[in-house]
Amino acid sequence: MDMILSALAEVLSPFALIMNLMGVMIGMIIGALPGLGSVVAISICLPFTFGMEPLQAMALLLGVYCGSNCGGSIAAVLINTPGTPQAAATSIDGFPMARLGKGGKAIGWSLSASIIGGLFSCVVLVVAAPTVASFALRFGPLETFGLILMGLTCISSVSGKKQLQGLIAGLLGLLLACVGMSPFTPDARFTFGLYALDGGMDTVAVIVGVFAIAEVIDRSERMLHEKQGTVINVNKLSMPKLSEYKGRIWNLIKSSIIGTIVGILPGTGATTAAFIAYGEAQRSSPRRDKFGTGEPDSIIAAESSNNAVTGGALVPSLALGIPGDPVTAIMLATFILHGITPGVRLMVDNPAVVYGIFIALAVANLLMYPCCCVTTRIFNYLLKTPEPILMGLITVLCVLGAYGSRGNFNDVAVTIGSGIAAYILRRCGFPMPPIVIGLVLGQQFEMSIGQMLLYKADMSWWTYIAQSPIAMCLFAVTALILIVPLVRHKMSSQAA
Amino acid sequence: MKKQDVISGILCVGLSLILYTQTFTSDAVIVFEDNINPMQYPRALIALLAFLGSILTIRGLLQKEDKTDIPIFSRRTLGIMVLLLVYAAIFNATGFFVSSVIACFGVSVVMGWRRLGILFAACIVALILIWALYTYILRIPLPTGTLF
Amino acid sequence: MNKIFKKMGLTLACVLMVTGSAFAAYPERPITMIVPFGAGGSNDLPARVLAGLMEKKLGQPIVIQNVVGAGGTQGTTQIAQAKPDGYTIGFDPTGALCLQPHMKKLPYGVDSFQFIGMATQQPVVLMTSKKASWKNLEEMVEIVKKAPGKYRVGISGVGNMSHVPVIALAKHYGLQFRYVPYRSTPEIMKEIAADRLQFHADMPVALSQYDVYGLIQFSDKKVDNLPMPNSADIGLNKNFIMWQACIAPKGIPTDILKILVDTMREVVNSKEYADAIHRLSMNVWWMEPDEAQKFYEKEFVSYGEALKDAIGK
Repeated sequence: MDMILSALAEVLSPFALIMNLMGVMIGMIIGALPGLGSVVAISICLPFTFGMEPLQAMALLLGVYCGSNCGGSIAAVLINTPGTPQAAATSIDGFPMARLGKGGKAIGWSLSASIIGGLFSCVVLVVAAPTVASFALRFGPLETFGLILMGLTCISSVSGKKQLQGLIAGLLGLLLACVGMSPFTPDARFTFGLYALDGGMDTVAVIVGVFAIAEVIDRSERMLHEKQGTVINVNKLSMPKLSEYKGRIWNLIKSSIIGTIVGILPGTGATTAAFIAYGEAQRSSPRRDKFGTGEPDSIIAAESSNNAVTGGALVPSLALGIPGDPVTAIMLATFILHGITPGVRLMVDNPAVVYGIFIALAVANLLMYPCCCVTTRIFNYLLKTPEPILMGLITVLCVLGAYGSRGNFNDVAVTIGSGIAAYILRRCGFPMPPIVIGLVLGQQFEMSIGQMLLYKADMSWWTYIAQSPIAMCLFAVTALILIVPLVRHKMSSQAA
Repeated sequence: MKKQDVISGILCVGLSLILYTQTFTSDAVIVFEDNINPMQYPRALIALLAFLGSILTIRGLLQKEDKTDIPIFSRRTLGIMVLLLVYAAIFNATGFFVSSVIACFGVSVVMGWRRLGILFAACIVALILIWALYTYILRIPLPTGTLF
Repeated sequence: MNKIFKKMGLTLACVLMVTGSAFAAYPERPITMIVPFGAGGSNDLPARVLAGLMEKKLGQPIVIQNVVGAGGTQGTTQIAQAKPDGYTIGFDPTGALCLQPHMKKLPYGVDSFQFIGMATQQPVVLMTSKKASWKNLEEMVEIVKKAPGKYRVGISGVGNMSHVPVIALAKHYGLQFRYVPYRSTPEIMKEIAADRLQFHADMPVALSQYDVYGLIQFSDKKVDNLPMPNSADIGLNKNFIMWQACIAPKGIPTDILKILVDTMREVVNSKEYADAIHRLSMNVWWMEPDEAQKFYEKEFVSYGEALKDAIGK
């Protein structure tokens, strides 16, 4: 008990609180810059942690982690430029809301969903870390394949009325993920002889291109056809009233659960979580037809899940020493540099540190509120610039952000190329989210298929699958997700 | 017939054909045992793409025309696309500062801004701020060309 | 309109004059150190330690740039193709420099780099779960021999330093493993914890992080803090030592190179560096640039042979 109290004392000490706050603020601003995501934000703060105590360093890094998630959403809502890859799902409904003058409301929804999702995963972390971690151990290639397949069915949910074009867009995303090194041989595929493409298509570069650059190209023409005075109004952050949560609570909880689970599994990150939750919300929400025109349901789903990943990713990191996503990998490395050995013995040898992290994460989630207000105000000020200049600056920021994320020169060409292609596809009626879903899930998908083949060896498929109840469960759910809408459609057309 | 669907369907089929030819070039110097053929999975995807593309084309041929008054390729959109391609091409060679100034300036002008003096000043100031942000705070080095 | 062009021309001229006259002492602006792997990884942390200590002596910040992709080759290419003016250097491990060029055509080769010095070295260690049914190398060989193809090795990339040493060992004993590729070491360690994979070859730092122990270290000399047989003990004449070096593109001016080498020598031989590196479970290893260059050429050839050996039946 006194372990918890001492941890509380250390994490709530003034210095640690200030570090937490600064982390959230820095994370939010860097997250808002297009292209630079949570990994970049944390690697920047890494050198600053060298002189600090371990818990203070963790307070800083956890703050950055949470802040970057939120910052990316602010940019996604206000300028349709996801600051982080996981905010791409938020921009789908967030930006239309901003166009209608309800930008402050959209940010309010995004913030509250983020805080609730983050705190939910924090509770899971505190209450059930070791049990949940051992559950994560049972996810091998077969189960991961099942999960990713479930994620891919979201392509269908997300496409709404444009099923055929959505599927094609998803296929294009999966093919984009194949460009570069093959996972099973040292070959480079689809590089057309260009060495530059050996590194594959960077997810951040493609997302920035597909959402931001395509939008810039689209705006240039759309501006001429719009009536004057439809500029984005000043958006003061306005949190949603309690009554507005009615009918949305189940969505919130479900998305938080999805985010926590995806975070727990190593190999998948916040972007995957955001899109799976988005797809699920679109499938089950009574207001699904309004998705894409400014419906808060989709913002809630995307934001609560991508923030729930923070707590979820810490579960395997703290309980098993196995990082749940790239950001927690850096956090574990920070432990090593501070002389604490992460691993299965961490919770036994250093319980104070572990409890401290739980508390620091909860504090970071709560500190997002004031920082978000400040950042939104800064954004509003910057958005007063006239649109043409703003678009020019956004273009440059996006390209630089995409370059900065991997440091690879070729990402500039990838961003611009995918932006132009995405614009053309958009105008031809193709939905954009399936491309991102295909790209993000593609590599792990192919890897899982190959791994499955290697594990299965000479067994028959049925024996192999029957060994894992989890996998069978996931396949059944996937089948349901695909069949139920069809049945519903049949029944409604029969009734009519 | 719905022009967009037909064209996009044909393009999909064309793309899948090009990609299919790419699945035969393999300069694998080293082959390890129990290797999985890396081209099987992409080939399945490509076949699916060709199939869906042809369905799209057929559907487009059977549907009615869809009118939009916003053209896909107008002077402005083409202008921005060309500008972006130039940006990508010269980014490395001339360094980020020069190419970004050109891009920012160009995009704003294409979008209709006519007061060039203010624009130029705004671009330079903003890019100096961005450069400072990247170099000193983010510590991400940006490519410098021959001048700076 | 003309006024604006005149103003632009004037500004350009001024800037040109200023940059033209800037040939003062090296270094006069921040240096970039390219690390071809992700932040926080075992190839990135030693680079950050080195950069942090070197920049204090040089007086200019050394900025780490992680250029990720294609098993380290994308970043290494960027180092090889950078301007050799001393403001772009790199931190590269064995794999990208010695193994990858033999597996496919790359825009760099054994003569694309000028070594500044060696930084760390550690032998590749074959690891297995503490809960496995074998307690040492001999037992493992016995058990695995009886069930060819049943036991699985996790590799982080086909043909890299986690794959080739194990193939060499398997050939030496006549064992048959199945090699399953994964995207990152943490995933492999999770699979080992779940007993879906039984082996993984990696740097010794993983021994203290995860619930595994080392069966054999692939080096001809025993390293003190690794209590396990080495390849000389079992008669395997192959060394698989992961070293990391600080390199620069070929053609860097000799006076700038001297400054970098002197600084690095001081840092690598200092106590702070040693402490930090030991905390990462790595070993300090300094080598003068000329020696390092010759050593690299030898390694390059020997890894090429090791690869051919591993493939050939």
